[in-house]
Amino acid sequence: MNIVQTENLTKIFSAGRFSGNSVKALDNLTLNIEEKKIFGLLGPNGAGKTTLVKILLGIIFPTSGKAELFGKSISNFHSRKRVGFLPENHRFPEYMTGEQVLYFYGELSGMNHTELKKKTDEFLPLVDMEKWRKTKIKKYSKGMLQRLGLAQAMLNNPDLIFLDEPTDGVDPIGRKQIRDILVNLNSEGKTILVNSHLLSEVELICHTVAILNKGLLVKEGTVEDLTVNENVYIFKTSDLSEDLLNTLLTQYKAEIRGKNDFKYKSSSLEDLNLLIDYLRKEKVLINSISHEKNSLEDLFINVIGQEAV
Amino acid sequence: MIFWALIKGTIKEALSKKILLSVFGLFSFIVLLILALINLDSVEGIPALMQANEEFDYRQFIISIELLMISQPPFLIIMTLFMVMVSSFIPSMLEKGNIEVLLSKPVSRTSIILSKYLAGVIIIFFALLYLVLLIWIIVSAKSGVWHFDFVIYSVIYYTYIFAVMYSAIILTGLLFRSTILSLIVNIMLFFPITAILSLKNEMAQVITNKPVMFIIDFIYYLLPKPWDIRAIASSLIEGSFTATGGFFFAYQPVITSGIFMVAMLFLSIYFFNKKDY
Repeated sequence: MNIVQTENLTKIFSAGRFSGNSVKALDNLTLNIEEKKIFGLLGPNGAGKTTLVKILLGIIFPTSGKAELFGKSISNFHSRKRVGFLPENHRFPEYMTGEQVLYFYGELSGMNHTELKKKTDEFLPLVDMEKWRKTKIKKYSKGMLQRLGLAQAMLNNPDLIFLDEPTDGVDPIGRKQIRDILVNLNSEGKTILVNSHLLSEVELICHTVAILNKGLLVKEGTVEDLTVNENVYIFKTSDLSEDLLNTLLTQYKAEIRGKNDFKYKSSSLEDLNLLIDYLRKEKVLINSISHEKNSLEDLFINVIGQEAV
Repeated sequence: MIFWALIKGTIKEALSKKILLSVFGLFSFIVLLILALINLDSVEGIPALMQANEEFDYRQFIISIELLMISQPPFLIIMTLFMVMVSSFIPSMLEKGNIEVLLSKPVSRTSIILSKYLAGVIIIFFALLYLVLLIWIIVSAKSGVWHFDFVIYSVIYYTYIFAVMYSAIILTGLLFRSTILSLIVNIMLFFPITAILSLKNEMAQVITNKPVMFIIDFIYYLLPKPWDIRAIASSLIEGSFTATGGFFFAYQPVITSGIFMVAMLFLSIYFFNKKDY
């Protein structure tokens, strides 16, 4: 089931009231996000990622097109009842303590006092903020604010959580903790939408990603499907003789990685099978043949680079 | 419950920013000052002396003292202070990073504006009640004249005047997103603009040009009339208010200011519901 659905979503920002210039932040975006998945939203600066999140949360309004959360139109504020949100560079009222922040935003999400107490006691230790709960947040570091923001986003037990740069300003250990929390939440059946520049992190936790560029959806799919290099095969074999390695190098243009490991590039299945036949004829034992995998970063640079050209 | 949480949040904001406490501190100081003044030896004997004179209207004298306390100069100071107190509510809510979290909650934008408005009015109502009630108790206990109309009319009408002015503060806060700018515009509106316009009848005797007078009239009816409402409150406290010319004519400043307040709130809600953040 799709928990988020958009159809031809377009947002045009006018650059100035009198200038007449305008910027198309989203261009006919049609996107579906399945429930119980961690979805990564990627793209360079100005791609429209934050605009999309803000439209889905009713913070800005689309110029045209439609969007739904849990099957309800985003224009209905009740659609946000089962939603948690951690915006980028969020700013909570500085006069509040960490605990008060959670109580205030929890109440706005419709939680009662008993639930609030229970969830605050549960989430503050989870994000490692228990000992700072009575401290005014103006004394918090950026990393601490980020952890508190994450607790705030999870507090009302939402089914869908939007996270805009969730590990921004957090140290590597904290990042690992946040990743673990997100994976854990997902295992409990929560759908998570992560908007992040840290592609290595997205790759570690996301099931599905979408790459936006200049308001357009340029790539979408599972991390597995998108990062696989379909024309390149990695062979793991028994030890190969020098002659055999030379043949592979010269005739098959293979890239030798070791005595029993080489990379073969081919767009035809026939060529691949011919190579297998040859190896078997030479009494080589094939342990495995797998597709080469690119990193999400390689894919991102490839896609955005091509777009730029 | 969510609406109440929003109101509570605004009251907490006022408390935390120490503005509310400063105002209560200032009011307490004023009350203590009055208390000290009333207990001066030279003042002590005045009630007995005046009551001895049978022709002297002692009750009216006490009422005029009460009226002095809510006369134009204190009115100007108190209202300006109240406007300073609440002018940051909307701009601070609209700060980047704050408004996004707020709007992502399952709360309607209309509720957000109305809660900010109501919270401001509640704060000022209690601040006024505190000041007026203490002054009334001190003056009444000392004089023996318990004139409750002073509390009723001054608190109700001053809260109403504030509610009218605050509706304009809400709209300008949304439009300018700046505490200072919003404050300047509204203080200008309160004093001198509406103060000068309250002298419309006196102006009509001097200005003979009809189009000019028409424009003055138009602006007068368009804008709130805090000074005229204050005058009505004073007459009611004094007991001299008569609804000559009918209800609408007598209460015209209250009614037209109420229309202004509703219009400001409507525009604020409309603007907030259309705006991207």
